[in-house]
Amino acid sequence: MTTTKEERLSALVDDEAEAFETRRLLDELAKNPEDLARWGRYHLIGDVMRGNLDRTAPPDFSARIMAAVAEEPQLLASSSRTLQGRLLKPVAGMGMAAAVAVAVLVGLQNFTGDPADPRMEPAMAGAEPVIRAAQWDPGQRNALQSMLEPDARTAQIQHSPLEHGSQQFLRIDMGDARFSSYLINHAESAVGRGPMPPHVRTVGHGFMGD
Amino acid sequence: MLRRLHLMCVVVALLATATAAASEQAAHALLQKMARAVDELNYEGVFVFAHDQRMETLQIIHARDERGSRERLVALTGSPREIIKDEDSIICVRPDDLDPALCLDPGKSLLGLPGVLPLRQGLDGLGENYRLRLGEQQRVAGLSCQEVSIIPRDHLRYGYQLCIHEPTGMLLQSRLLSREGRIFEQFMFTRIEFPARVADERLQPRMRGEGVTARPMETPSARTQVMEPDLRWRIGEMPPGFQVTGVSRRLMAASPHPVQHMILTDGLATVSVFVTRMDRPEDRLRGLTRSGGLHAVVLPWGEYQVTVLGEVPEATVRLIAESVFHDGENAR
Repeated sequence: MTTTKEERLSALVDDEAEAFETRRLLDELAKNPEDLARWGRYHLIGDVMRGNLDRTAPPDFSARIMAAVAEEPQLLASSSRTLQGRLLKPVAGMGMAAAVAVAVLVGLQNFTGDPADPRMEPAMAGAEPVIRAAQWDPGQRNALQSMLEPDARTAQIQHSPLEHGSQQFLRIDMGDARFSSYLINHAESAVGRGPMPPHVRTVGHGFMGD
Repeated sequence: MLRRLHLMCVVVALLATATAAASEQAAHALLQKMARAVDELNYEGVFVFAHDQRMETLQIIHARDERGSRERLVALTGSPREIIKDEDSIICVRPDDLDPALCLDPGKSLLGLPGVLPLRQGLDGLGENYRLRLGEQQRVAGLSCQEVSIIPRDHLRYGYQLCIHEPTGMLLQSRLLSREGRIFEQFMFTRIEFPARVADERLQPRMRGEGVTARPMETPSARTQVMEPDLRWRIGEMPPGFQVTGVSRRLMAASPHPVQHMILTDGLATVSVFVTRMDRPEDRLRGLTRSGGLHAVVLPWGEYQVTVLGEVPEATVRLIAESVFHDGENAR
Protein backbone atom coordinates (compact mmCIF):
# COMPACT_ATOMS: atom_id res chain seq x y z
CA MET A 1 0.00 0.00 0.00
CA THR A 2 1.47 3.31 -1.05
CA THR A 3 1.13 6.61 0.72
CA THR A 4 -1.11 7.81 -2.06
CA LYS A 5 -3.49 4.95 -1.39
CA GLU A 6 -3.63 5.88 2.27
CA GLU A 7 -4.46 9.44 1.39
CA ARG A 8 -7.17 8.31 -0.96
CA LEU A 9 -8.65 6.03 1.68
CA SER A 10 -8.52 8.82 4.19
CA ALA A 11 -10.36 11.08 1.76
CA LEU A 12 -13.00 8.41 1.38
CA VAL A 13 -13.46 8.17 5.13
CA ASP A 14 -13.66 11.95 5.36
CA ASP A 15 -16.33 12.07 2.70
CA GLU A 16 -13.98 14.05 0.51
CA ALA A 17 -13.49 11.63 -2.37
CA GLU A 18 -15.08 12.41 -5.71
CA ALA A 19 -17.88 10.18 -6.95
CA PHE A 20 -15.76 8.31 -9.48
CA GLU A 21 -12.91 7.95 -7.06
CA THR A 22 -15.31 6.69 -4.41
CA ARG A 23 -16.63 3.99 -6.67
CA ARG A 24 -13.15 2.89 -7.67
CA LEU A 25 -11.94 2.85 -4.08
CA LEU A 26 -14.91 0.81 -2.97
CA ASP A 27 -14.21 -1.71 -5.72
CA GLU A 28 -10.64 -1.91 -4.55
CA LEU A 29 -11.72 -2.19 -0.93
CA ALA A 30 -13.85 -5.16 -1.73
CA LYS A 31 -10.92 -6.92 -3.37
CA ASN A 32 -8.29 -6.09 -0.81
CA PRO A 33 -8.95 -7.17 2.79
CA GLU A 34 -5.94 -5.19 4.01
CA ASP A 35 -7.32 -1.96 2.62
CA LEU A 36 -10.72 -2.78 4.03
CA ALA A 37 -9.23 -3.23 7.48
CA ARG A 38 -7.41 0.07 7.14
CA TRP A 39 -10.58 1.80 6.00
CA GLY A 40 -12.35 0.46 9.08
CA ARG A 41 -9.56 1.67 11.34
CA TYR A 42 -9.68 5.15 9.79
CA HIS A 43 -13.36 5.29 10.60
CA LEU A 44 -12.69 4.29 14.17
CA ILE A 45 -9.90 6.85 14.50
CA GLY A 46 -12.21 9.50 13.11
CA ASP A 47 -14.91 8.54 15.56
CA VAL A 48 -12.57 8.60 18.51
CA MET A 49 -11.45 12.07 17.45
CA ARG A 50 -15.01 13.24 17.09
CA GLY A 51 -16.07 11.62 20.33
CA ASN A 52 -18.59 9.40 18.59
CA LEU A 53 -17.47 6.27 20.31
CA ASP A 54 -20.91 5.54 21.64
CA ARG A 55 -21.56 4.45 18.08
CA THR A 56 -19.04 1.64 18.29
CA ALA A 57 -20.25 -1.88 17.81
CA PRO A 58 -21.13 -3.76 20.97
CA PRO A 59 -18.37 -6.09 22.19
CA ASP A 60 -20.25 -9.20 21.19
CA PHE A 61 -21.03 -7.94 17.71
CA SER A 62 -18.56 -10.11 15.86
CA ALA A 63 -19.61 -13.11 17.94
CA ARG A 64 -23.19 -12.53 16.86
CA ILE A 65 -22.16 -12.22 13.22
CA MET A 66 -20.21 -15.45 13.53
CA ALA A 67 -23.23 -17.18 15.04
CA ALA A 68 -25.37 -15.93 12.17
CA VAL A 69 -22.80 -17.13 9.66
CA ALA A 70 -22.62 -20.52 11.39
CA GLU A 71 -26.33 -20.97 10.85
CA GLU A 72 -25.69 -20.98 7.13
CA PRO A 73 -23.57 -24.05 6.46
CA GLN A 74 -23.53 -23.44 2.72
CA LEU A 75 -22.20 -19.98 3.27
CA LEU A 76 -19.23 -21.30 5.17
CA ALA A 77 -18.68 -23.97 2.58
CA SER A 78 -18.47 -21.59 -0.35
CA SER A 79 -15.13 -20.03 -0.96
CA SER A 80 -15.06 -16.42 0.11
CA ARG A 81 -13.68 -15.45 -3.29
CA THR A 82 -16.74 -16.80 -5.12
CA LEU A 83 -19.05 -15.24 -2.57
CA GLN A 84 -17.40 -11.88 -2.96
CA GLY A 85 -17.58 -12.10 -6.72
CA ARG A 86 -21.28 -12.80 -6.71
CA LEU A 87 -22.33 -10.43 -4.00
CA LEU A 88 -20.34 -7.58 -5.41
CA LYS A 89 -21.58 -7.95 -8.93
CA PRO A 90 -24.59 -5.64 -8.57
CA VAL A 91 -22.54 -3.01 -6.78
CA ALA A 92 -21.18 -1.48 -9.94
CA GLY A 93 -24.49 0.14 -10.79
CA MET A 94 -25.47 1.06 -7.26
CA GLY A 95 -25.00 4.05 -5.07
CA MET A 96 -22.38 4.42 -2.45
CA ALA A 97 -24.53 3.39 0.50
CA ALA A 98 -25.18 0.08 -1.13
CA ALA A 99 -21.55 -0.37 -2.02
CA VAL A 100 -20.44 0.40 1.51
CA ALA A 101 -22.95 -1.97 3.03
CA VAL A 102 -22.00 -4.81 0.73
CA ALA A 103 -18.27 -4.24 0.91
CA VAL A 104 -18.37 -4.18 4.67
CA LEU A 105 -20.54 -7.26 4.92
CA VAL A 106 -18.16 -9.17 2.74
CA GLY A 107 -15.25 -7.87 4.70
CA LEU A 108 -16.80 -8.90 7.97
CA GLN A 109 -17.21 -12.42 6.80
CA ASN A 110 -13.58 -12.50 5.81
CA PHE A 111 -12.32 -11.13 9.06
CA THR A 112 -14.54 -12.97 11.45
CA GLY A 113 -14.24 -16.26 9.64
CA ASP A 114 -10.89 -17.00 11.18
CA PRO A 115 -10.25 -15.85 14.76
CA ALA A 116 -6.55 -16.42 14.24
CA ASP A 117 -6.50 -13.81 11.49
CA PRO A 118 -4.09 -11.15 12.70
CA ARG A 119 -6.20 -8.49 10.99
CA MET A 120 -9.02 -9.23 13.42
CA GLU A 121 -7.70 -6.82 15.97
CA PRO A 122 -9.89 -5.18 18.60
CA ALA A 123 -9.54 -1.84 16.87
CA MET A 124 -10.88 -3.34 13.67
CA ALA A 125 -13.94 -1.25 13.19
CA GLY A 126 -15.17 -3.07 10.12
CA ALA A 127 -18.22 -3.99 12.15
CA GLU A 128 -18.88 -0.43 13.08
CA PRO A 129 -19.73 1.05 9.68
CA VAL A 130 -22.29 -1.72 9.23
CA ILE A 131 -24.17 -0.46 12.22
CA ARG A 132 -23.81 3.06 11.05
CA ALA A 133 -24.73 2.29 7.47
CA ALA A 134 -27.89 0.60 8.70
CA GLN A 135 -28.44 3.21 11.32
CA TRP A 136 -30.57 5.40 9.10
CA ASP A 137 -33.33 2.87 9.37
CA PRO A 138 -33.34 0.37 12.17
CA GLY A 139 -33.52 -3.21 11.03
CA GLN A 140 -32.32 -5.16 8.07
CA ARG A 141 -35.51 -4.47 6.12
CA ASN A 142 -34.66 -0.84 5.62
CA ALA A 143 -30.98 -1.43 5.20
CA LEU A 144 -31.82 -3.62 2.25
CA GLN A 145 -34.11 -1.00 0.88
CA SER A 146 -31.44 1.64 0.95
CA MET A 147 -29.19 -0.82 -0.86
CA LEU A 148 -31.71 -0.97 -3.66
CA GLU A 149 -31.88 2.74 -4.21
CA PRO A 150 -29.13 3.94 -6.51
CA ASP A 151 -27.57 7.35 -6.32
CA ALA A 152 -27.33 8.04 -10.02
CA ARG A 153 -27.22 11.82 -9.68
CA THR A 154 -23.98 12.13 -7.78
CA ALA A 155 -22.21 10.03 -10.38
CA GLN A 156 -22.89 12.73 -12.98
CA ILE A 157 -21.03 15.39 -11.06
CA GLN A 158 -17.82 16.38 -12.77
CA HIS A 159 -14.44 16.47 -11.16
CA SER A 160 -13.50 19.70 -9.57
CA PRO A 161 -10.31 21.36 -10.81
CA LEU A 162 -9.50 22.54 -7.30
CA GLU A 163 -7.12 20.50 -5.23
CA HIS A 164 -7.05 20.40 -1.46
CA GLY A 165 -3.31 20.39 -1.27
CA SER A 166 -2.97 23.29 -3.66
CA GLN A 167 -1.05 26.15 -2.18
CA GLN A 168 -3.43 28.73 -3.55
CA PHE A 169 -6.32 27.12 -1.75
CA LEU A 170 -6.26 28.43 1.80
CA ARG A 171 -8.43 27.77 4.77
CA ILE A 172 -10.90 30.58 5.36
CA ASP A 173 -10.45 32.41 8.61
CA MET A 174 -13.70 31.88 10.49
CA GLY A 175 -12.97 35.00 12.53
CA ASP A 176 -12.85 37.17 9.42
CA ALA A 177 -15.41 39.95 9.87
CA ARG A 178 -16.69 39.76 6.32
CA PHE A 179 -17.13 36.01 6.54
CA SER A 180 -18.92 36.45 9.87
CA SER A 181 -21.28 38.90 8.26
CA TYR A 182 -22.02 36.43 5.47
CA LEU A 183 -22.69 33.65 7.94
CA ILE A 184 -25.19 35.71 9.89
CA ASN A 185 -26.89 36.84 6.70
CA HIS A 186 -27.03 33.25 5.51
CA ALA A 187 -28.58 32.10 8.77
CA GLU A 188 -30.92 35.05 9.06
CA SER A 189 -32.22 34.95 5.52
CA ALA A 190 -32.94 31.29 5.98
CA VAL A 191 -34.91 32.13 9.11
CA GLY A 192 -36.88 34.54 7.01
CA ARG A 193 -35.67 37.71 8.72
CA GLY A 194 -33.86 39.05 5.71
CA PRO A 195 -35.44 40.29 2.51
CA MET A 196 -35.84 36.69 1.39
CA PRO A 197 -38.96 34.54 1.29
CA PRO A 198 -39.57 33.46 4.86
CA HIS A 199 -39.02 29.93 5.97
CA VAL A 200 -38.35 28.60 9.41
CA ARG A 201 -34.67 28.28 9.99
CA THR A 202 -32.29 28.42 12.85
CA VAL A 203 -28.67 27.54 12.67
CA GLY A 204 -26.10 26.33 15.12
CA HIS A 205 -22.47 26.96 14.55
CA GLY A 206 -20.93 26.99 17.86
CA PHE A 207 -21.51 29.71 20.36
CA MET A 208 -18.40 27.95 21.44
CA GLY A 209 -16.00 29.31 23.97
CA ASP A 210 -13.04 27.22 22.81
CA MET B 1 -28.57 -20.32 -0.48
CA LEU B 2 -27.87 -17.24 -2.59
CA ARG B 3 -31.01 -17.80 -4.61
CA ARG B 4 -32.96 -17.93 -1.36
CA LEU B 5 -31.29 -14.75 -0.27
CA HIS B 6 -32.17 -12.99 -3.51
CA LEU B 7 -35.80 -14.08 -3.30
CA MET B 8 -35.91 -12.91 0.28
CA CYS B 9 -34.51 -9.53 -0.79
CA VAL B 10 -37.25 -9.11 -3.39
CA VAL B 11 -40.06 -10.00 -0.96
CA VAL B 12 -38.61 -7.80 1.73
CA ALA B 13 -38.21 -4.91 -0.71
CA LEU B 14 -41.85 -5.15 -1.82
CA LEU B 15 -43.10 -5.17 1.74
CA ALA B 16 -40.81 -2.30 2.57
CA THR B 17 -42.17 -0.19 -0.29
CA ALA B 18 -45.75 -0.45 1.02
CA THR B 19 -44.89 0.35 4.62
CA ALA B 20 -42.46 3.07 3.53
CA ALA B 21 -45.23 5.09 1.87
CA ALA B 22 -47.27 5.15 5.08
CA SER B 23 -44.18 5.96 7.11
CA GLU B 24 -43.32 8.80 4.72
CA GLN B 25 -46.73 10.44 5.15
CA ALA B 26 -46.70 10.21 8.94
CA ALA B 27 -43.15 11.56 9.08
CA HIS B 28 -44.10 14.44 6.79
CA ALA B 29 -47.01 15.45 9.05
CA LEU B 30 -44.86 15.29 12.16
CA LEU B 31 -42.15 17.42 10.55
CA GLN B 32 -44.66 20.11 9.66
CA LYS B 33 -45.90 20.12 13.23
CA MET B 34 -42.32 20.42 14.46
CA ALA B 35 -41.52 23.32 12.13
CA ARG B 36 -44.37 25.30 13.70
CA ALA B 37 -43.74 24.15 17.26
CA VAL B 38 -40.13 25.33 17.60
CA ASP B 39 -41.24 28.84 16.69
CA GLU B 40 -44.72 29.04 18.19
CA LEU B 41 -44.30 27.27 21.53
CA ASN B 42 -43.07 28.73 24.77
CA TYR B 43 -40.26 26.63 26.14
CA GLU B 44 -37.39 26.73 28.57
CA GLY B 45 -34.78 24.07 28.69
CA VAL B 46 -31.18 22.96 28.74
CA PHE B 47 -29.53 21.16 25.86
CA VAL B 48 -26.18 19.70 24.97
CA PHE B 49 -24.75 20.63 21.59
CA ALA B 50 -21.83 18.76 20.07
CA HIS B 51 -20.07 19.47 16.81
CA ASP B 52 -16.65 18.50 15.60
CA GLN B 53 -14.76 17.68 18.77
CA ARG B 54 -16.49 20.23 20.94
CA MET B 55 -19.41 19.98 23.28
CA GLU B 56 -21.29 22.72 25.09
CA THR B 57 -24.30 22.98 27.33
CA LEU B 58 -26.74 25.79 26.69
CA GLN B 59 -29.89 27.10 28.24
CA ILE B 60 -32.65 28.25 25.94
CA ILE B 61 -35.69 30.38 26.75
CA HIS B 62 -38.09 30.83 23.88
CA ALA B 63 -41.25 32.93 24.04
CA ARG B 64 -43.89 33.54 21.46
CA ASP B 65 -46.54 36.15 22.20
CA GLU B 66 -48.08 39.32 20.78
CA ARG B 67 -44.57 40.75 20.48
CA GLY B 68 -43.50 37.92 18.20
CA SER B 69 -40.73 35.40 18.83
CA ARG B 70 -38.11 36.19 21.42
CA GLU B 71 -35.28 34.02 22.53
CA ARG B 72 -32.45 34.02 25.01
CA LEU B 73 -29.53 31.63 24.85
CA VAL B 74 -27.11 31.26 27.71
CA ALA B 75 -23.86 29.34 27.49
CA LEU B 76 -23.51 27.21 30.61
CA THR B 77 -20.04 26.00 29.68
CA GLY B 78 -16.93 27.88 28.57
CA SER B 79 -16.77 31.67 28.67
CA PRO B 80 -19.95 33.27 30.04
CA ARG B 81 -21.99 34.84 27.24
CA GLU B 82 -25.60 35.24 26.26
CA ILE B 83 -27.45 35.98 23.10
CA ILE B 84 -30.79 37.78 23.15
CA LYS B 85 -32.78 37.67 19.97
CA ASP B 86 -36.07 39.30 19.11
CA GLU B 87 -37.87 40.26 15.93
CA ASP B 88 -35.54 43.18 15.30
CA SER B 89 -32.15 42.43 16.71
CA ILE B 90 -29.56 40.00 17.91
CA ILE B 91 -27.56 41.16 20.90
CA CYS B 92 -24.58 39.43 22.41
CA VAL B 93 -23.80 40.03 26.07
CA ARG B 94 -20.33 39.23 27.34
CA PRO B 95 -17.77 40.35 29.90
CA ASP B 96 -15.54 43.21 28.70
CA ASP B 97 -12.41 41.16 29.05
CA LEU B 98 -13.73 38.42 26.85
CA ASP B 99 -12.41 38.21 23.32
CA PRO B 100 -14.78 40.47 21.31
CA ALA B 101 -14.61 37.98 18.48
CA LEU B 102 -16.63 35.62 20.63
CA CYS B 103 -19.69 37.68 19.95
CA LEU B 104 -18.86 38.85 16.46
CA ASP B 105 -17.79 35.53 15.11
CA PRO B 106 -20.81 33.53 14.10
CA GLY B 107 -18.52 30.54 14.11
CA LYS B 108 -18.97 30.99 17.80
CA SER B 109 -22.48 32.29 17.86
CA LEU B 110 -25.70 30.43 17.91
CA LEU B 111 -28.80 31.74 16.28
CA GLY B 112 -31.56 29.69 17.78
CA LEU B 113 -31.88 26.04 18.31
CA PRO B 114 -29.31 23.95 16.48
CA GLY B 115 -30.58 21.04 14.49
CA VAL B 116 -33.85 22.72 13.72
CA LEU B 117 -34.61 22.17 10.10
CA PRO B 118 -34.72 24.85 7.47
CA LEU B 119 -38.21 23.70 6.64
CA ARG B 120 -39.97 25.75 4.08
CA GLN B 121 -43.72 26.13 3.95
CA GLY B 122 -45.26 22.85 2.87
CA LEU B 123 -41.90 21.11 2.60
CA ASP B 124 -41.92 21.67 -1.16
CA GLY B 125 -39.50 19.55 -3.08
CA LEU B 126 -38.35 17.69 -0.01
CA GLY B 127 -39.55 14.34 -1.33
CA GLU B 128 -37.52 14.63 -4.52
CA ASN B 129 -34.26 14.87 -2.69
CA TYR B 130 -34.89 13.06 0.60
CA ARG B 131 -36.72 10.04 1.90
CA LEU B 132 -38.66 10.37 5.17
CA ARG B 133 -38.99 7.51 7.62
CA LEU B 134 -40.53 7.08 11.03
CA GLY B 135 -38.22 5.30 13.42
CA GLU B 136 -38.67 3.97 16.90
CA GLN B 137 -39.99 5.60 20.04
CA GLN B 138 -37.20 7.05 22.14
CA ARG B 139 -37.00 8.89 25.43
CA VAL B 140 -35.24 12.23 25.72
CA ALA B 141 -35.30 14.69 28.66
CA GLY B 142 -37.84 12.50 30.41
CA LEU B 143 -40.28 12.71 27.49
CA SER B 144 -41.09 10.06 24.96
CA CYS B 145 -40.39 11.08 21.38
CA GLN B 146 -40.80 9.71 17.89
CA GLU B 147 -37.71 9.22 15.78
CA VAL B 148 -37.90 10.65 12.25
CA SER B 149 -35.19 10.14 9.64
CA ILE B 150 -34.68 12.45 6.68
CA ILE B 151 -32.45 10.45 4.40
CA PRO B 152 -30.67 12.18 1.51
CA ARG B 153 -31.16 10.52 -1.86
CA ASP B 154 -27.64 11.39 -3.01
CA HIS B 155 -24.31 12.63 -1.69
CA LEU B 156 -24.94 16.29 -2.43
CA ARG B 157 -26.82 16.87 0.82
CA TYR B 158 -26.93 15.76 4.42
CA GLY B 159 -29.73 14.10 6.31
CA TYR B 160 -31.18 14.39 9.76
CA GLN B 161 -32.23 12.04 12.49
CA LEU B 162 -34.71 13.76 14.76
CA CYS B 163 -36.65 12.85 17.82
CA ILE B 164 -39.92 14.77 18.13
CA HIS B 165 -42.21 15.01 21.15
CA GLU B 166 -45.51 14.11 19.49
CA PRO B 167 -48.00 15.93 21.78
CA THR B 168 -46.28 19.31 21.28
CA GLY B 169 -44.23 18.77 18.11
CA MET B 170 -41.14 19.97 19.95
CA LEU B 171 -37.79 18.80 18.66
CA LEU B 172 -35.92 17.11 21.52
CA GLN B 173 -32.94 15.62 19.72
CA SER B 174 -31.30 16.08 16.35
CA ARG B 175 -28.36 14.70 14.43
CA LEU B 176 -26.98 16.07 11.20
CA LEU B 177 -25.37 13.25 9.28
CA SER B 178 -24.10 12.21 5.89
CA ARG B 179 -25.72 9.57 3.75
CA GLU B 180 -23.16 7.13 5.10
CA GLY B 181 -24.19 7.82 8.66
CA ARG B 182 -21.30 10.04 9.66
CA ILE B 183 -22.51 12.43 12.37
CA PHE B 184 -21.46 16.09 12.01
CA GLU B 185 -23.54 17.79 14.66
CA GLN B 186 -25.94 16.69 17.32
CA PHE B 187 -27.96 18.28 20.02
CA MET B 188 -30.18 16.90 22.74
CA PHE B 189 -32.33 18.44 25.44
CA THR B 190 -31.57 17.21 28.93
CA ARG B 191 -34.46 19.16 30.46
CA ILE B 192 -37.40 21.02 28.95
CA GLU B 193 -40.58 22.72 30.17
CA PHE B 194 -43.44 24.36 28.33
CA PRO B 195 -44.63 27.33 30.44
CA ALA B 196 -47.96 28.97 29.49
CA ARG B 197 -46.26 32.35 29.62
CA VAL B 198 -42.62 33.41 29.80
CA ALA B 199 -41.96 36.33 32.15
CA ASP B 200 -40.13 39.26 30.52
CA GLU B 201 -37.33 39.04 33.05
CA ARG B 202 -36.51 35.56 31.80
CA LEU B 203 -35.61 37.16 28.47
CA GLN B 204 -33.34 39.80 30.04
CA PRO B 205 -29.61 39.17 30.20
CA ARG B 206 -28.44 37.99 33.60
CA MET B 207 -25.01 39.50 33.08
CA ARG B 208 -25.33 43.22 33.75
CA GLY B 209 -23.53 46.18 35.16
CA GLU B 210 -19.90 47.14 34.98
CA GLY B 211 -17.53 45.05 33.02
CA VAL B 212 -20.24 43.74 30.78
CA THR B 213 -20.75 44.71 27.15
CA ALA B 214 -23.90 44.24 25.14
CA ARG B 215 -23.25 44.63 21.46
CA PRO B 216 -25.61 44.19 18.56
CA MET B 217 -24.57 41.66 16.00
CA GLU B 218 -25.37 42.06 12.30
CA THR B 219 -29.04 42.99 12.34
CA PRO B 220 -31.73 42.78 9.71
CA SER B 221 -31.63 46.57 9.46
CA ALA B 222 -29.97 45.60 6.20
CA ARG B 223 -33.56 45.49 5.00
CA THR B 224 -33.45 49.23 4.59
CA GLN B 225 -30.39 49.11 2.36
CA VAL B 226 -31.73 46.78 -0.26
CA MET B 227 -30.74 47.52 -3.86
CA GLU B 228 -31.70 46.19 -7.23
CA PRO B 229 -29.91 42.85 -7.72
CA ASP B 230 -27.66 42.27 -10.73
CA LEU B 231 -29.48 39.40 -12.38
CA ARG B 232 -26.58 38.68 -14.71
CA TRP B 233 -24.79 36.85 -11.93
CA ARG B 234 -25.64 33.24 -12.72
CA ILE B 235 -24.97 29.76 -11.47
CA GLY B 236 -23.86 27.75 -14.49
CA GLU B 237 -24.12 24.26 -13.11
CA MET B 238 -26.75 23.88 -10.45
CA PRO B 239 -26.40 20.70 -8.38
CA PRO B 240 -29.37 18.40 -9.04
CA GLY B 241 -32.39 19.21 -6.88
CA PHE B 242 -31.35 22.77 -6.03
CA GLN B 243 -32.97 25.96 -7.26
CA VAL B 244 -32.57 29.67 -6.62
CA THR B 245 -35.33 30.87 -4.31
CA GLY B 246 -34.19 34.40 -3.62
CA VAL B 247 -31.80 37.09 -4.87
CA SER B 248 -31.01 40.37 -3.17
CA ARG B 249 -28.30 43.04 -3.22
CA ARG B 250 -27.58 45.10 -0.15
CA LEU B 251 -24.94 46.59 2.07
CA MET B 252 -23.60 44.31 4.75
CA ALA B 253 -21.30 44.88 7.67
CA ALA B 254 -17.61 44.73 6.90
CA SER B 255 -18.03 45.16 3.16
CA PRO B 256 -17.60 48.57 1.46
CA HIS B 257 -19.38 47.42 -1.71
CA PRO B 258 -22.91 46.04 -1.94
CA VAL B 259 -23.18 42.29 -1.70
CA GLN B 260 -25.30 40.21 -4.02
CA HIS B 261 -26.89 37.36 -2.07
CA MET B 262 -28.42 34.39 -3.88
CA ILE B 263 -30.23 31.69 -1.93
CA LEU B 264 -30.46 28.13 -3.19
CA THR B 265 -32.52 25.38 -1.61
CA ASP B 266 -33.41 21.78 -2.30
CA GLY B 267 -36.47 21.92 -0.07
CA LEU B 268 -34.41 21.40 3.06
CA ALA B 269 -30.79 22.45 2.78
CA THR B 270 -30.06 26.15 2.18
CA VAL B 271 -26.96 27.39 0.38
CA SER B 272 -26.02 31.08 0.20
CA VAL B 273 -23.97 32.60 -2.60
CA PHE B 274 -22.43 36.02 -1.88
CA VAL B 275 -20.77 38.08 -4.60
CA THR B 276 -19.05 41.38 -3.94
CA ARG B 277 -16.41 43.57 -5.57
CA MET B 278 -13.00 43.34 -3.97
CA ASP B 279 -10.78 46.29 -4.84
CA ARG B 280 -7.40 44.92 -3.85
CA PRO B 281 -6.28 41.79 -5.70
CA GLU B 282 -4.63 40.46 -2.54
CA ASP B 283 -8.05 40.45 -0.86
CA ARG B 284 -9.51 38.11 -3.45
CA LEU B 285 -9.07 34.71 -1.91
CA ARG B 286 -9.39 31.06 -2.77
CA GLY B 287 -10.25 29.01 0.26
CA LEU B 288 -12.49 26.60 2.03
CA THR B 289 -13.51 25.83 5.56
CA ARG B 290 -15.80 23.61 7.56
CA SER B 291 -17.59 23.90 10.88
CA GLY B 292 -19.73 20.94 11.83
CA GLY B 293 -21.73 20.23 8.72
CA LEU B 294 -21.29 23.74 7.32
CA HIS B 295 -18.92 24.08 4.39
CA ALA B 296 -17.77 27.31 2.80
CA VAL B 297 -15.75 28.03 -0.32
CA VAL B 298 -14.40 31.39 -1.51
CA LEU B 299 -13.18 31.94 -5.08
CA PRO B 300 -12.26 35.03 -7.09
CA TRP B 301 -14.20 35.94 -10.25
CA GLY B 302 -12.56 38.82 -12.05
CA GLU B 303 -12.54 41.71 -9.60
CA TYR B 304 -15.17 40.00 -7.51
CA GLN B 305 -15.13 37.57 -4.65
CA VAL B 306 -17.57 34.68 -4.67
CA THR B 307 -18.41 33.08 -1.31
CA VAL B 308 -20.61 30.01 -1.09
CA LEU B 309 -21.69 28.47 2.20
CA GLY B 310 -24.28 26.08 3.49
CA GLU B 311 -24.90 22.97 5.51
CA VAL B 312 -24.20 20.68 2.59
CA PRO B 313 -21.18 18.53 1.70
CA GLU B 314 -18.04 20.22 0.48
CA ALA B 315 -18.55 18.85 -3.04
CA THR B 316 -21.85 20.72 -3.27
CA VAL B 317 -20.53 24.14 -2.24
CA ARG B 318 -17.51 23.69 -4.51
CA LEU B 319 -19.67 22.74 -7.46
CA ILE B 320 -21.75 25.87 -6.98
CA ALA B 321 -18.80 28.19 -6.32
CA GLU B 322 -16.95 27.03 -9.42
CA SER B 323 -19.92 27.63 -11.67
CA VAL B 324 -20.84 31.16 -10.58
CA PHE B 325 -20.25 33.61 -13.42
CA HIS B 326 -21.33 37.03 -14.66
CA ASP B 327 -23.22 36.95 -17.92
CA GLY B 328 -22.15 40.34 -19.30
CA GLU B 329 -19.22 42.53 -20.19
CA ASN B 330 -18.86 44.38 -16.94
CA ALA B 331 -20.21 43.38 -13.60
CA ARG B 332 -21.60 46.18 -11.53
